[in-house]
Amino acid sequence: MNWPAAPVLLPLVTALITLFWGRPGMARRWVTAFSLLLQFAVGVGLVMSTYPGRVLVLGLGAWPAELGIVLVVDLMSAVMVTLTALVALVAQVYGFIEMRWAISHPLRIPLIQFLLAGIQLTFCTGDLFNLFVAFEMMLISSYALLTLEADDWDIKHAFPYVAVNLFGSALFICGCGLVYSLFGTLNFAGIARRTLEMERDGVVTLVSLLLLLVFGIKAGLFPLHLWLPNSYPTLPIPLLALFGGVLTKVGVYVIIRALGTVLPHDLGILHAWLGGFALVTAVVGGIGAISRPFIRGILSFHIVSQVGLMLLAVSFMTPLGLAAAVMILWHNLAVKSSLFLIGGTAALLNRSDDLSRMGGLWSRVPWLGVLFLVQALSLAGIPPLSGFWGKYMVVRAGLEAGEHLLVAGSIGVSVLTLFSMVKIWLATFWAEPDGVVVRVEDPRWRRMTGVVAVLAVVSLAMGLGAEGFSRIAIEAARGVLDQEGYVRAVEQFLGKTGGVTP
Amino acid sequence: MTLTSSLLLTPLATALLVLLVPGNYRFVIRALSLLGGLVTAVLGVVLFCRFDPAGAPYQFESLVNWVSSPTLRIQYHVGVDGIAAAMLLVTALVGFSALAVSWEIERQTKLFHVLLLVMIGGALGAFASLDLFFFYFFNELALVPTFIMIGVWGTGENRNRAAFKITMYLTAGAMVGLIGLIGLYSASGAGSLDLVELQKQVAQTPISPAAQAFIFPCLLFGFGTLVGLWPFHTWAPLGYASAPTATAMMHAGILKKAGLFVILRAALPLLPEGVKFWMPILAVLCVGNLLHCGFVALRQKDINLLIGNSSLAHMGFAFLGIASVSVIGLSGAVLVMVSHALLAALSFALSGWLRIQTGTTDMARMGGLLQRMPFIGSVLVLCFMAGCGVPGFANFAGELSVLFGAWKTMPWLVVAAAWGGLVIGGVYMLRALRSILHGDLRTELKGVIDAPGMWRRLPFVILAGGLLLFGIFPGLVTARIQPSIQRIAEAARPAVPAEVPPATALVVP
Repeated sequence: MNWPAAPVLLPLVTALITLFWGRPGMARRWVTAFSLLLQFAVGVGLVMSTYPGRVLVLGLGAWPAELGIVLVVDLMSAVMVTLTALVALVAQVYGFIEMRWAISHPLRIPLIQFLLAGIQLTFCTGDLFNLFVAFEMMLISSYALLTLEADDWDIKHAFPYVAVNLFGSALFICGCGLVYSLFGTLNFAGIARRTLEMERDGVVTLVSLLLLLVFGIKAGLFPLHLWLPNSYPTLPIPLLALFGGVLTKVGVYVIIRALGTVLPHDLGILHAWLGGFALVTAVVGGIGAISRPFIRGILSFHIVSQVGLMLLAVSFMTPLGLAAAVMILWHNLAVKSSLFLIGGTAALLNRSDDLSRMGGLWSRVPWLGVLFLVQALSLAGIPPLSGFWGKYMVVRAGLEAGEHLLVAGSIGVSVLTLFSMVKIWLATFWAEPDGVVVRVEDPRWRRMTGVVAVLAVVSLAMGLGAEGFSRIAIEAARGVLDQEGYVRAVEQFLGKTGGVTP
Repeated sequence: MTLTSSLLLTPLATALLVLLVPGNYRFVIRALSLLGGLVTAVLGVVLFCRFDPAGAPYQFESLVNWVSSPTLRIQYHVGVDGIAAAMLLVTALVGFSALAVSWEIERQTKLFHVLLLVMIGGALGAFASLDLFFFYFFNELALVPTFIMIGVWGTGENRNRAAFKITMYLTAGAMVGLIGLIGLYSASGAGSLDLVELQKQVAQTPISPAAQAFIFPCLLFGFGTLVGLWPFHTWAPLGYASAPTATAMMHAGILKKAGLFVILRAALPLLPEGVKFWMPILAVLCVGNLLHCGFVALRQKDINLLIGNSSLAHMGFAFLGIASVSVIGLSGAVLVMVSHALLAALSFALSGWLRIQTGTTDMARMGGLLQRMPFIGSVLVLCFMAGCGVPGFANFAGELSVLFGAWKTMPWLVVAAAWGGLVIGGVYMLRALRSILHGDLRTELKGVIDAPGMWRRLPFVILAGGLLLFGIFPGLVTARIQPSIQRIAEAARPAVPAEVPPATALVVP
């Protein structure tokens, strides 16, 4: 079956259709929503056909395998595809509610679909060059989205984003060249096969360092995170939910994939470095969040902090640690996006997201408060919400790996997270300052809250269904770490076709 | 369903029912909540009476697997030993009393009652849990409503700051405790956080001393923060001063004890090496509670701050009993937990009544109230007498046992405790009584009234009655907790032979 191509093709086709649709109107919105729903359904289908431990491979282009386009979907990729589609669906519908079609920018929908195609290609690709292509797709469309409806101020803050990421792309292409000269292939399975056979080599460590640097920029790892907390808040809320919820997680996913599946598991000091930088990232993000006086700024810094926490778990390089990282990653996809959207709804009601100009929401719109509380407590890791399980696994993995300092740091970060969550909560929901009006007469907030509730339900389900959630995460982590299985699946496929992608 | 499960599910189920009632049906909400609280209280009494000290170590057990993947095994396992039975009883009684005094809540009544019922259910669950994960979960389930209640229904200008501080402190403490619990899971090799399995596993292969040295302080300081262990106590007085009456009653009375409970039941028996190293340090820290908090209480002019600080001083006794690691000292600690649950709840219920009637918590602006409030005034006298450890009240029995238990190893601490808890306590309690009840009635207080009728008086009667009952018959508690305490003491100090059973030492007139 050709299902592994579907997550990439669907948004691409949708992007083209909506781009050439002609006059914008409701019909275009329906088509987009339907496509996103379809993408979600495809994701669910992929999860079902990859669980447990099956790898789907698809070759495109009838080229020899070394150069051909190979798409590989395992459980980890499939879940990422599904959650991304879900977040995109919710964010897009939220965007539809927020702004009437007549006044929204006609290019926004196709650009989001191009962005999604790039993101989904990252999850499904089986070789390094396609990964580069996916990164470029994401970068171009995200830069376009950042500057689409921007003023001078926004463009000023968007500039570092594109500059840093272009620098990353240049490094990436150098890395690709180096990998090709070293292993003679850019195929993940091919690289993994060679590294399994090779002795430990300093060059491999160097290449790994280079790749980590590139992916670290994408993920926002300290000190490569500086572009993120200033550029993201310039985005409109639905896009911010998509960028903040999904885009940085792409970097984390790629690091997990590279360290788990592609590169050798024994990289010596590199993992320890990753752990150290991840902890600093988490702390810097947490402290940065405290310094910000507006919701989008606080949550944008939290992205950095949470990425640090995920990479911290990755750095243990144990099955449990990786499972923990995967759990935090998935939980964060749902929770972070919904927090942005809830913040956006609160800002709509108060007509500002500056904490000093907000307030009075608890007495007027308690259900929004309940949603925020559930998601914020989940982010801070209160049981049995979804964030708790990731934290639990991180602490356990850290203790079992003997990394007491990192464990203590991760708990400290949770406290910092809680601190800024409580800050938002107090200022937005409880405070009743004079002169702040709550515009409950604006009908949009009800529908927006309803849409966000979908994500809240998903994250609640992750928490309450911890049995299934942890089982899938552990299985996915096991699949990522199973280099032999991955290589075997791809080689079997290529063997059937005589080394040529059909 | 076993008695334990019914007990802890009753308030939670009631909360769900209340959620279905429309918000403006205030009477129905109150009636339904009170009914749920009453059933809970009755179940608590039945469980306490039916608990058989000579029977199995854990009774009324029920076990349901929740997460059973090999890397993460968590089961809903509840059951009671003597300590849990006593704590469940006082939780059910205080819970009912807290519901009974909540008639003062007029804004968002439904939400308040739902949160209070969840808090009661969470507290009961924490004491009933035999799986430490569920202990943690239920504890958090009870804490989250606390934060919300202080923020929404709290009084005073400081309520937002209080809510912020209490949230940060308690969550940070709980997280440190969580590291300890996960450490226990990993280091014990039991592959579970089930207390029974952990005990079995540790009896065969003790946890390595290095691991114990790491896990024990996590549990002690993490859960100690929840109790208000000095110097991690500053959240408490501020939080209680701003909290609505029922919340302060439940938190100061009951939830604080959950930290002590887990230290007593998990940290002590499973980590004897940690006990050896850390107990002398705990003994020093409890002087902070006893003397420092006592002196701070002496300076207070606000009745809620006074009660808050004095309750911290009382926690010093519980810590001292635990630090003695002797049968009599540990029994005393449990007795202090039980008696202080009733005492703290009663104190906050009384101060709540005074606040509503006089419109202030400043003691300097009260005075002569006994003329108008013979019932409330008398209960206040009883309550404060119990607070300074007068014989005949449950506190006396508990504090005396603690002093007996600690005397052998830490005589100078006993002296400090006697001074801090009893002498300083006597001074500030009596001073408070004088300025609230005696003297001339101020003109602006002419309109105050006493608790009218049976229904309003019931919560005070229950709590004061409990204090007297366990004061006169401490054996009701000590007989039930004896076997558990014996086991804990033996496991915590394997070399020390059993000591004089405390029941014989507690013959009080």
